[in-house]
Amino acid sequence: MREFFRDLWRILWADKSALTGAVLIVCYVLVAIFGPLFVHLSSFGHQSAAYLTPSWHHPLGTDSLGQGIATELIVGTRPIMEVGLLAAIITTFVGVAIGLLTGYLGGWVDIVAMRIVDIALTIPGLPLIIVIAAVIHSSNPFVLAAILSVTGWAGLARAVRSQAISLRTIDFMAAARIQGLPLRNIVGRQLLPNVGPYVAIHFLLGITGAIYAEVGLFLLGVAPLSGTNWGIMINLAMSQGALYTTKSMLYLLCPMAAIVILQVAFVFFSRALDSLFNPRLRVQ
Amino acid sequence: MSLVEVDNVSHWYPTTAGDRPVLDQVNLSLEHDDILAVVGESGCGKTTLGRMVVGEDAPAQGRIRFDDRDVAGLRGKDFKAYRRAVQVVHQDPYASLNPGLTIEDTLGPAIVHHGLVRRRELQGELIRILAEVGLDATRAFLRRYPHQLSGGQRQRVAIARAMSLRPRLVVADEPTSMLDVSMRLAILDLLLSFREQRQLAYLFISHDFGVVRYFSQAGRIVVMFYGVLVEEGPAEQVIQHPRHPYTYLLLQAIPVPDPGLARRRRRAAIEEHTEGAPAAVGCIFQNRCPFVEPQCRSSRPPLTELTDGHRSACFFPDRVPDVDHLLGAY
Amino acid sequence: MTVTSEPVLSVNDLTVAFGAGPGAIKAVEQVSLQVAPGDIYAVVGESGCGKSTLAYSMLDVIPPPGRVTSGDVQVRGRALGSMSRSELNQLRSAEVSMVFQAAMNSFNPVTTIGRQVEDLLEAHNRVFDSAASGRAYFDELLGMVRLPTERIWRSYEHQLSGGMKQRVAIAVALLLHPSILILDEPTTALDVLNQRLVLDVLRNLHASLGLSVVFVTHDLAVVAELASRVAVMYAGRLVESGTVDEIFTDERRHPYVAALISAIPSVLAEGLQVRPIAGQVPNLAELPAGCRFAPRCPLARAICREAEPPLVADRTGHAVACHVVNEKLVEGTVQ
Repeated sequence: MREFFRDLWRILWADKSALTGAVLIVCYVLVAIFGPLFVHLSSFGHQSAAYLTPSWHHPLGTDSLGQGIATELIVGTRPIMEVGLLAAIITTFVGVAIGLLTGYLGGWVDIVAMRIVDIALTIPGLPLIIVIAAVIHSSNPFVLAAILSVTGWAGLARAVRSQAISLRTIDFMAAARIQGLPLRNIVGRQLLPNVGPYVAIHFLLGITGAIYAEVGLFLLGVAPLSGTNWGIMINLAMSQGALYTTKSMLYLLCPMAAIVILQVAFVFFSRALDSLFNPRLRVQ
Repeated sequence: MSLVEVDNVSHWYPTTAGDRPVLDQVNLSLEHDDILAVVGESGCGKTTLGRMVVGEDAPAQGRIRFDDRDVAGLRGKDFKAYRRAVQVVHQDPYASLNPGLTIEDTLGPAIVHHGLVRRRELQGELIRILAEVGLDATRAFLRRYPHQLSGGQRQRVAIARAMSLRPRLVVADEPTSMLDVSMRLAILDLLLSFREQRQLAYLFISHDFGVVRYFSQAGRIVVMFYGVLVEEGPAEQVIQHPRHPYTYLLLQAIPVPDPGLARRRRRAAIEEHTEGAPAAVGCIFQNRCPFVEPQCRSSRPPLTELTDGHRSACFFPDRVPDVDHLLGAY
Repeated sequence: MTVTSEPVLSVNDLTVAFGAGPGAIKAVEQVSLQVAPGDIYAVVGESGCGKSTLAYSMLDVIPPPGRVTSGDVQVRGRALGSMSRSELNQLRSAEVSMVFQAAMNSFNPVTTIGRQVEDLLEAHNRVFDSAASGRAYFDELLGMVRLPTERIWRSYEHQLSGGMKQRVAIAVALLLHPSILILDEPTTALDVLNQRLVLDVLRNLHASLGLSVVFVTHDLAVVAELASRVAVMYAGRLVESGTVDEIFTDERRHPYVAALISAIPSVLAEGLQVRPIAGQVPNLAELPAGCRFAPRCPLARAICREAEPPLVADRTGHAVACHVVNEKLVEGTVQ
């Protein structure tokens, strides 16, 4: 484990844009975990403090209810990142498990699973998610994450499957089979590390995709508008006419900026993953 | 009872132009503690035969028997025992080791899985195995990745993996053809040393008669041409007194590390015998054979015993010259 | 071959390094050799000895970050390092041609061989009077490498066997009338019969086209079959060079070469003693002091572990870099 972090540091140091991405992600994570300990939203608004321009007390101004935008951004970080992370974990786990098993085993398992994948790939993902979210109407992060993962695993499953198929016939896989190793070893220890870099990058991009989709759900108002997160902020800003007046400009732009910066940070950081998961580049 | 019996095995691969035959009614047996070398040019079916013996491919027709039991019918505990008893050493040491696993993780899991040592004794056992195959027997070495090793070292790790399960049969498919010349003999010697220490049989697959001769001095050789077994016999007998024209052609083609001899042999042009297609009717080798007769065009010669254990699928085995002929008597 | 004939290709005190500073790895170190017109020159060695890098340097196509740090390569007396880019291109197309190690995999899989040959002819349309004469010459070459012309023109790469592809690659390399042909491991990865065919083909092409041939190999038996002159490399340095007969039959030879020859399992000679070579090829980043072969050498003495032996030639030009062997030479000439 110590070696892993030493390698990670070495790779990040060599690639400054990946380092920038990593630093930004760490900042976001710290804010998500510790932010709510330091700032609080008041339970009812101060109409008199609405639409204030930035000041020492409210660095990014206030919204129509008089809440500080900076405070809302900080408090809204955790729900967004939580759901994004959970959704990425679900899609990656399901996609990798199905891809490896079907690719390695082949036969009827493969045929059945791939028809399901085809269906999941042909259904337009976002509209389906919107419909399900509107029907279920839950703000539970696990339920939201599950909804967001409903089709996302299929593309990964297909890609991992084709890699597993090409790896299946390589000599080292044959040697593992001939040694009589059980399936869990062959799939988990022999196959998985070889699709590692691809899966890791997909995982990071899965987080970004889930965050976009989640924000979209709140923006459209199909997910319950309870609590505070960046999606709800954008939704409220829009409904309060941010497109027509300049008063709530900051209220609209700040959550958008927060999202864009986080997404860019993930994309930058993902560049380092390929080197990190390739033992040839990792060990000198 | 033989260790392995290949019983009337035929096999073909489907292609867009119809099925392509790979093995045609092959019969072989390998005794306990013996060496059987399979020789032929690329595409002759020798690798497919090896894959069948280790259970990676099932024959379309016929049976492979290990310890008198059909390999295709093995299940559960019996299958696990077969997996342990039959191991493989591949040709390409770059493809045969998983690039993502350390040496420890390459060797360890199977030893534990087959219950050969207890988990806490594993590292000691691995270090002992490394010493046995002539590698640096240290903990540091166990933590290395394949890309940190040379081709020769990788092949030793692959051999360690095969031998760690104490198998009774090892299929070695061209184990030295991708190694440096100075490493080849050492690898062959290593494989032979295991045979001396243990009850171990080898199915040795190669296109290089020089390597085959070195490896299978006391064993037997079979020569295959496009899936058909054309000659079989004791190793030295087949090499010194080939009785099938294809065997002779293979022997004649081998480059010799002696420029004087090479110049004397140069007049024997070989090209007209390297490219004829296998024939569907009659002797499969007729389109390349220098001694072909009308009889060869009409009926297929059976594999016939000539002398003790030496068999040839040729109507005119006596026309094939001895190998002394190759030493420059032209 | 007379001693006075000008070499068509000469490598002079060439060093090729990968990386810079004290950590730089010298893949080729102070290597000199001369290829006379009509030679079939073999460069022999094991993997990592620098033989392929040496071959690349003959066309100035050393893969980065490798670069020539001293010495030069001259083709007909002109140093490659002093040539402009267009002169180098001219040289590579018309004078020196190379068949790379993976040449059999170097065809475009989605077009026919014929189409690829036509593209090549079009790119070099000054070489032939007309496209038809270029195509006719390729037919002639296909005949020389013993391939059926019509079938090859129409074939896709996957329809040919490894041995056939290797011979097509040789024909393509000869299309623009080069006078020097360089081949990297031309027989590796082929089975015995195809190997023999490639050897026969190369020998005939050499005779009928008046080529000078340089080939790189790890297989001494192939050297004995094909080469007229031989240079043996070990860990980046030249350890022995001479005619093929000197290398294989001279009493005076480098212990590494002697060991390599006796490490070839043979089918023919009954009494030939076969012995493995102890130890491993050294890592170029951690070279031993003194002679690089000393740790594996049965003849090694104290001096071998201290000083690198110089390459010493006898009267016929047979050169060996070994303290022990050259000591005898000096004694011999004194007597």
